[in-house]
Amino acid sequence: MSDTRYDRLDSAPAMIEARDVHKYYGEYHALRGIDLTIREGEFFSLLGPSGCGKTTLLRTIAGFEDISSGAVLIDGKHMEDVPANKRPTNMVFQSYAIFPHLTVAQNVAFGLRRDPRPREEKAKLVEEALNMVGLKGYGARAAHALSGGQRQRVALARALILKPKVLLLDEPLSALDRKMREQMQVELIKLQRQVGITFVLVTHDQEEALVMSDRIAVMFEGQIAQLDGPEALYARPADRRVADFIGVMNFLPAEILGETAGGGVRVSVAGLGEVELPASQISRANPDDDGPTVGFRPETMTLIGTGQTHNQARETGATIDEVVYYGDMTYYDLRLDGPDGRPAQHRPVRISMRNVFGRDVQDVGSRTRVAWSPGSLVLFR
Amino acid sequence: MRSGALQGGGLRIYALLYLLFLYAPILLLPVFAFNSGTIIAFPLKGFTTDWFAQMWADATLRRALTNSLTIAVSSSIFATCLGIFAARASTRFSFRGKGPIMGFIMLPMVLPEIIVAMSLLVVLLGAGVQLSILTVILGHTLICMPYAIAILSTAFSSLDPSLEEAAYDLGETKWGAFRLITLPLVMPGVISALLISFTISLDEFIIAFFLAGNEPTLPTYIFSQLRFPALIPMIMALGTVLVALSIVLLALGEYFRRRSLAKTGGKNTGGLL
Repeated sequence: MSDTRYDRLDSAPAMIEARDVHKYYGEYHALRGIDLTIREGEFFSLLGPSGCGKTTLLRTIAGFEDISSGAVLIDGKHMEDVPANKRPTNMVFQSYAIFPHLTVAQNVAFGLRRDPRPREEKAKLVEEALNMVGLKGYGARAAHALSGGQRQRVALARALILKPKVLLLDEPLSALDRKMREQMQVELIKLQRQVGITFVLVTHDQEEALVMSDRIAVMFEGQIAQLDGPEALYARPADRRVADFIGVMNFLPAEILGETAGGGVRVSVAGLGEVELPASQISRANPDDDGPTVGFRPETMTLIGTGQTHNQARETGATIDEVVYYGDMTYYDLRLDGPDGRPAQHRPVRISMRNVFGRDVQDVGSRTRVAWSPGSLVLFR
Repeated sequence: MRSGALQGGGLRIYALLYLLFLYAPILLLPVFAFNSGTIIAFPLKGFTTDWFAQMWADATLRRALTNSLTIAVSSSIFATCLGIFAARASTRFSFRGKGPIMGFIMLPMVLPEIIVAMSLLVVLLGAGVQLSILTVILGHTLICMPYAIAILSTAFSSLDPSLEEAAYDLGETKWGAFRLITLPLVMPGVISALLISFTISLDEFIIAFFLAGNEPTLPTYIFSQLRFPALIPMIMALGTVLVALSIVLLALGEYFRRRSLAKTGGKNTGGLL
């Protein structure tokens, strides 16, 4: 991708390496051969549905869980015999784990207990850490009286004051309301750039991962399904599970007509007709899919007559099945026309259009045309 | 509205009668403790503190009191310490056979005490152990532990397990994390467990009767003195002291519990009062 930050990180030295990491809980195989490298200074996310092993992986990096086989290295050192309290990592817990019987300052200073520096110097460090997270002057407050957002900031200050090489964040925003969550997302990104520490975030919220991360590992059933930057993950999902999990994707049944030179294929797609797709637009289907499907994102099609210009190559007739108005956007559920001009037999596809001021939203049941390009399709076979 | 008021009135009378039945006998203790007559009956004769003086002068009673306090303090500390281990293990870890093990530990709570006392006596005598207050401490620890565990389990399970992990993650040792974070937060439960165990041990009769050998404890001493009518006013005085002591203890326990609740902003997870 063209992100310069991403390119720069690509050449940064490795901070965390996982080599064929397996983890069993009794019979249950929680991590099934994790291989990944997280680079120094990277904002890295582990994304997946609950039970996919993302939190287990984070806890093996932190040292709270032993691994059954494989190796975890942090900053080039094997972590096998290093317990959590000796690792150069600190964690922000999902519940924040603020010590309720201590003050804010005592919470933040907790990790400095074994630090031989004089008291005044430590107090200054605490003050700096609180300033950094926007809690200047909160030191004397009782920790249990803080709001959710403030607790999170205390947890961040408490972890960062130790200047860890890696900060681990376990679903840190899931307990906050939507407004606060969006605000904290931006603050976390800024904080990470400011301190330059490697952040590893666990989340089940794909939007959060896309917004915040340099790279994302999408996990299913103890394995990494795809490891990529946000744009690549969104535009070129490696398989249909990833496509389903990240954002909205429409799927249309497809039929393979033949192979072309260079690994591409010619396919006939319900509602769209025949297209040729290069190898770069072909991903893996789910094992339980019946036959190949072609997917596209809602924003890649343009509804003609809504006041938006486009330079897409092809057009298809469609009937509007449902209209969902969102103020700035409108979602249209469409039935694309089949070869005979009648609506094809498939589930409606959803496309999203930015509303243009002064232009009416189209009505349910009306006939319309959509423009699209073969370049935005992904074949799952 | 009308029927509600009637129902409320009926319930109120019932509640009053219930409380009267429960506490009137106890209220009579101080009344007769300060009565100068030797017969426990109305009308009262006159005011005296002689019974308290007589009680204080009784060497056997002082010995019984010392024994009982020693036993109650030791067994409540043992039961609470062991309870902390068990409660922490049962709430934090899952291990093979956890259900049956916890079941066996909690069993003395529902087992008839006479069975516990008899079997302990047989085993101790069989093992050649001399009966003394030590053997009573052993027995009391056994019967107090289930109560301590029940109270402490509530305290431990309402604790976020991440707290200890966070302290460990921040560089503390496992023991340090427990001492600095977990222990202060479960302290209300620890105090409750100590108090309950102390109270149970202090007035326990059967095990003390079986396992104390020649040593008197308060309950066994009181029981032995009931045969002598002349001594009953003194027993009343002793009862008065014990009631006053229990009230002070309970109030203290509740005071510490509320103070620690206010300090941590925790939810009220059930104390003694």
